[in-house]
Amino acid sequence: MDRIDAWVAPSFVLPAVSTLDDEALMVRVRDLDDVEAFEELVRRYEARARRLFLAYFGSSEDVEDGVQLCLLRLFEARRHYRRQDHFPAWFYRLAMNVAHDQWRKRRRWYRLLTRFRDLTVGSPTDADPTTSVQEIEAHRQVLWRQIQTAVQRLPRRQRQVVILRYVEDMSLAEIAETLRMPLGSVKAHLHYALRKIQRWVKSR
Amino acid sequence: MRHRSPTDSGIDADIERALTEWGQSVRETAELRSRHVRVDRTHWLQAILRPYHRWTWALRWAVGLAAIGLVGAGLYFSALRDRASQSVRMANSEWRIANGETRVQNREVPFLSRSLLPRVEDLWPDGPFDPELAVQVHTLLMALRQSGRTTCPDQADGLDFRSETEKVRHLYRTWALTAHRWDDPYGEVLRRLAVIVEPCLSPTQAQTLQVWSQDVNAYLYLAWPTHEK
Repeated sequence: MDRIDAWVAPSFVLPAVSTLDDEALMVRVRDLDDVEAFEELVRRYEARARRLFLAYFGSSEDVEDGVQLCLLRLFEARRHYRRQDHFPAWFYRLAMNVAHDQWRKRRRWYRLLTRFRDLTVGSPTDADPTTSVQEIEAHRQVLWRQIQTAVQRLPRRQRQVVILRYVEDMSLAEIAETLRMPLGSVKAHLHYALRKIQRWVKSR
Repeated sequence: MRHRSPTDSGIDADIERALTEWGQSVRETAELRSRHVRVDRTHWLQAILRPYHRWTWALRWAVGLAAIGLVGAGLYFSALRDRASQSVRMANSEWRIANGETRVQNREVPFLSRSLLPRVEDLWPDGPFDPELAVQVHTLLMALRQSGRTTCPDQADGLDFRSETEKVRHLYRTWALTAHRWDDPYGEVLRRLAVIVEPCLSPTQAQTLQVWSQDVNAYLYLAWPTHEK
């Protein structure tokens, strides 16, 4: 990888990027504009960003744009990073802000898309789950799409809590740290979100 | 994958299981995509970073050059304004002389800069400060400065001065005291100015000074015919 317009100390001065933890890498990106360290961070966090954007936008083409935008924002926001910040939590906050901004810009289009999907897909109760393996799989696909739609209809905080809980598989304490909110608030958001999702799925 | 217990707050276990499966499917889809969407990182990183760097550096240069340009323009226009106001002051002085005013009518002395006042005032250590005379001395200072020279020959009135500043200060003081004593400021002071400063001036400057001096002398001759010229 070429070093682009940035001074990077020779390798005998700085340790190899693969041996550093996320926080040290981000500090190097922040202080030295170290492209090599940034690439290592991208390697570690690209998949997480993709998961997050898939959960936000379903399998639309905006996912890849969102991932690119998220990594670009990560580089742009490098000066705001502080050494004491837990990097994964900091990254998730940044990624979710990017996702939410993107969602807000195209909110009407996504709502139209989900309505159209609801009309064409139908209800999972239409299929008999005992008929065949293919039909069971089809039933599950329909259910997941309905859940995806229901998650997209949730308010911002509830959606973030659900995604971190079920997609990122975080504990409630980790969610509280990532979103910087009390544990009780996380529980409350999760509870209301599940109730809304349940109501939505049952009404289909 | 950690085990999740069904909630006991009215949420069906089916829903929670469905959410868990949905999360799992999202993770699998993302992993599948990550395998297939294998872009060349060098390309996209360069695509992101290179324009970014160029843009920021271009912006920094633009801001820096704009700042330098602003400061330069400010200094230039400030100098231009000083020069213009000085020309106006000189024109006013000449106009007053040409129109027969030996005394400055305006008591407010608007063109006498505040920074110069204490220095002019120092010229009268023994007596009260005379604003009219101060204005006249100030006019002479301006004439001397406009001639492009603030220094005079090393030997003036037979005195040897240790520094340029002291020399100029002494000359001003001599002119002012002489003018004050004789009650004939323009004639005597200008004559002394011409005698001392002329060797330092360029031919054009000397000619200008002579014309001015002659005009004033002619006026003084008419105004006080009894005065010896």
